Amino acid sequence: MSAREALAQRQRAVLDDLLAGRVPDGFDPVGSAATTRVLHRKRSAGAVHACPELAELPRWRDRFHAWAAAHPAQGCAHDDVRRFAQSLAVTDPDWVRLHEVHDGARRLAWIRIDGRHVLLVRLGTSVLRLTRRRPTTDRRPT
Amino acid sequence: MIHASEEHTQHMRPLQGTGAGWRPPIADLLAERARAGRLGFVEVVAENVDPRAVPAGVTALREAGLPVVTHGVTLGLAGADRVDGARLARLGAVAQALGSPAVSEHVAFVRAASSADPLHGDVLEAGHLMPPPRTREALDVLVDNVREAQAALPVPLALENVAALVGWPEDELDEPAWLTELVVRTGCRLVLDVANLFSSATARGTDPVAELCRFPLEAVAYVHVAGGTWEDGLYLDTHAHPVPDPVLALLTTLVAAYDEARLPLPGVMLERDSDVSPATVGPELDRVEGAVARARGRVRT
Repeated sequence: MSAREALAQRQRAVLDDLLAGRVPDGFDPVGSAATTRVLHRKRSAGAVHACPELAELPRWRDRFHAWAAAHPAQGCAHDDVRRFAQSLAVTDPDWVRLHEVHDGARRLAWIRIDGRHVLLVRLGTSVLRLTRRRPTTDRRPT
Repeated sequence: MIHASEEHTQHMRPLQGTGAGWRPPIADLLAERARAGRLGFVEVVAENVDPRAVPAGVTALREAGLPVVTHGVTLGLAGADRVDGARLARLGAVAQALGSPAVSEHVAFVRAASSADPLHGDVLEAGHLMPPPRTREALDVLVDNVREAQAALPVPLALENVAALVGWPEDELDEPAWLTELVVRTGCRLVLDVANLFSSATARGTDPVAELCRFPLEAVAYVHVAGGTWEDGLYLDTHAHPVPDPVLALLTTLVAAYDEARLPLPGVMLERDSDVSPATVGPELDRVEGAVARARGRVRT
């Protein structure tokens, strides 16, 4: 095996371990865990930059990192967001609809944010959030 | 021990004074500091600039006579695969568009395929500058890649030490010896990142000062310094926090080492990549400038 082939296989095996959160054989466990966190944070920083509404998904960072450990990057941050969003279809349908409105895949969506119903409307490049005001007893006509 | 000397390294226009990583949110701050004579050079991340549409702020600095270094982050010269010709060509085009005295990159791998043949896919992208194993065999591959890059680039190449939170069990050379051999065999220049050195030395339990003194100082084109944070007893080079005192102290040590070796001190630049604004970068530039000036015994008043 050539030096390049040997190096390729070695670097790939170690990177595969670190991306998945495993300690490569013979590596320091503390430094390996820190490297894994750095790798995952770089990826989540890229994802939230590409998709700012990711920050509205509860515990998004931890959940994205757990997903990233099992799903090596294929493509750019936008591809990461697309694949991660697909994995949330069942658990977080409200967030997925929010993402789809931001993404342009749909124009309107009724979702619940913090227990409140919100109508999302895409207008050009911005997204309006309309909340029905709760009727209150102390409001009197003036 | 082999020592690198002037005759080994590629000649380039010297970089001096306090520099900064040019970023759009601090364009005005840097222009102002340049006018005040307090900016020696800037560095532009090659991947963030279109060689056909150089930002006006960068062009203005260049026209004012400031060197603009092209800094690449995705070449992966310490990877197993041959250097990507398209990436090299783009790096060269940016360097030409910016009139750069040098291109800098890293002693790192950023992706890994199961085979060195780029046509066989299955590539893992690290999205990060990963430290390579420091073996003789890996050094041969690195030297090959660096020579290829040097042949293709229009200006000298300077290579930076990365922050390594892990070492490889097969490492045969320590970092100063590894970088010295790289310089001797390729004539490349170095970017000495004192924050990365501090991070790596902390992680491997070595003395950063002792290692710093063994770096081939005469080959250093310029110095990087950046902020970071502590986590689990390790120092993370985040480029998102203030420069901590131990890193600033290492910079001061470096100034003394140049003085002792009677070598001219290369330019020292601050990198900041998150939360970039005049309010975060301005005071940090003042601190770096102040630390270097004090170390040289000439305090700005």
